[in-house]
Amino acid sequence: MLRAPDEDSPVYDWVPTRALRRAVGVLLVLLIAGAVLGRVDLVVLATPFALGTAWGLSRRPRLLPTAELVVHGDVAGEGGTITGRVAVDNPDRAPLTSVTVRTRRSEWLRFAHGTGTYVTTVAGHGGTDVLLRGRALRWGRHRIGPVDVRAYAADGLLRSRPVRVPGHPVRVYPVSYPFDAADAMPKAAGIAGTHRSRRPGEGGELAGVRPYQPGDRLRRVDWRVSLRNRELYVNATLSERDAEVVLVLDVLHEAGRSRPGQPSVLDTVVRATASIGEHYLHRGDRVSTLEYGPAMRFLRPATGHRQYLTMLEWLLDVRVLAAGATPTSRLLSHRTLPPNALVLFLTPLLDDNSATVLAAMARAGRFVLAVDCLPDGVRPDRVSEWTDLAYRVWRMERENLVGRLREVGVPVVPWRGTGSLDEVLRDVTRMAAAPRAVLR
Amino acid sequence: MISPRTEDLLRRGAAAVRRTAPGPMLFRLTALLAGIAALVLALAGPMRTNPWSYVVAVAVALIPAVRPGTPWVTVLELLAAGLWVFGALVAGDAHGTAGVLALAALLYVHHSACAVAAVLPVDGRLGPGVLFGWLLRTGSVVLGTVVLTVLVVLFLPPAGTGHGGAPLPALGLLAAVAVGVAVAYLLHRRR
Repeated sequence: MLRAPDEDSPVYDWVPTRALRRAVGVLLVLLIAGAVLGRVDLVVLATPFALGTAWGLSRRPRLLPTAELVVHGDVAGEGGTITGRVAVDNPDRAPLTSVTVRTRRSEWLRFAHGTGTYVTTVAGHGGTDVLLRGRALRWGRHRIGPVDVRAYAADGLLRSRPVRVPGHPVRVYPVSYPFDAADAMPKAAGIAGTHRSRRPGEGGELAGVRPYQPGDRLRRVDWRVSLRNRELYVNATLSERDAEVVLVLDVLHEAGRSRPGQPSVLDTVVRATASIGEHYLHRGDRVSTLEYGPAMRFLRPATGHRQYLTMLEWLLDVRVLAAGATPTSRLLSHRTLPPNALVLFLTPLLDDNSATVLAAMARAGRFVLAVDCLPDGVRPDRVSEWTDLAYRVWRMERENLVGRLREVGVPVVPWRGTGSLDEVLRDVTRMAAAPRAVLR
Repeated sequence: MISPRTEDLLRRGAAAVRRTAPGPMLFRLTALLAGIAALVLALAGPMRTNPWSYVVAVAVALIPAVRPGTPWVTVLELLAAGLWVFGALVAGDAHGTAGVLALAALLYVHHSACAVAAVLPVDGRLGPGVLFGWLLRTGSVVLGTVVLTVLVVLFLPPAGTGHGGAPLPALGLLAAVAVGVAVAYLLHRRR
């Protein structure tokens, strides 16, 4: 039995559509019926089918169309614009009746033009472009494509084998909230920087007035005090050092749904990290980042704009791992966290492990500060008659947890962007200056 | 009380209607109108006076317009041709050449509109060339049919007389065989 090539045949570049089968079937039935019954009117009814099919198949292409996906720039910020195009070329001299271009995309890329299905004609040896223009809604590694191109020729009687163009990766960096922290670091530890340390040295912050010693610079002599005391006195200053900031990201749990203007826990954690990191790196401090989860991904401390870009790249791979995974126990190691570093623990405080490790760090004498990244609008997914009650009980338990953390010396501050950390940093600095007993 | 399955179907149907773009809708509407017109034109004598015939014609034409990629398109076209022959042979309807041409044109418009609609997703956006190209090709085919029919009317006995002469069945069968062989050859030629 004679059969037409299958529609998904890997052998044939062009295969018949159902329309061709229908045209041939109707044509044969009408011709045979006309011949048997001796009716010319049935032959007339068959004529347009014969003409249309013959005309279509006479302009039958032999080569497949080619396609290319071009994305202009593969990096964008949240809310940034992404543009590109899908270029389709017809290497055959026969025209293509229509070309269907279907471009897939990540759910966090919203395109005003270009994705979905576009149908257009392409002349012989011609080409066409489908322009892509859209916006990145959320940070992360996203993808435009793959693109599926299917061509129809001979008035829709033939269909090409699908041409698939691989997708193009797009990196979307998290947006930085406006953030500023004016207060000093609890313990500046480097050899140069902008924070005043508690050690005397060359700096701008006045520490006191003391008698002159050999080696003191002449410009540091306080002439007013010297004249009054008939002895040389100099202004003593505190040295200025840089500080190390360790941003610990709690990736044990995700909560809330990420939508424009309604961030999830992970969105808040990542964006807050980008904001705080940008602020301290801009001030010349060393910043490192660390995931608190089973894997404990770590970005080594460094300074400057290069470290900021590295940190943004590092943040793209932040993931919440499967529920029930055991978090790392190496967080308290001296190798992981330098003793004088300021540890900013960005956490939604949804897991007891997070609270435990915060308390342990405070007891070990770390300068630790918990940044509460649980967004205000987060509610449980399942709704039943007990949901409200359970939610209220859970909120009370959480407030209790925050209170207990404060008791053991862990300041907890909700993330609010600008000035969020000023007051708390002042408290941490005051605590750092005071003598205290440390468990060893 | 609506079952969850029906509710889901209704929701999906409503979503598909909301997504429908004007281009694909135009082709489906063309298929619907051509299908209704072809069936109404082919209705045999007693059927024309029965209002239910028109309701059935609309219902039958609606199916291929909604599902243009299904065998329902073929069913409608063969049904229209069958009704036409039934009217001529049994009911004694006398259709003129203009009627035959009109039915031929409507059936072809229905076929080609369904062919294009079948490859268009309901939310697909169309370039202007697709519509103009289709109009040009379909118009040309219909015009060619008119020219050929005029030639047939001039050189052969009147249509529908049943006295086409001795060579007609043989010619028709030969043409059918030739069409089958040509299409099979074209489809199985790889390059």
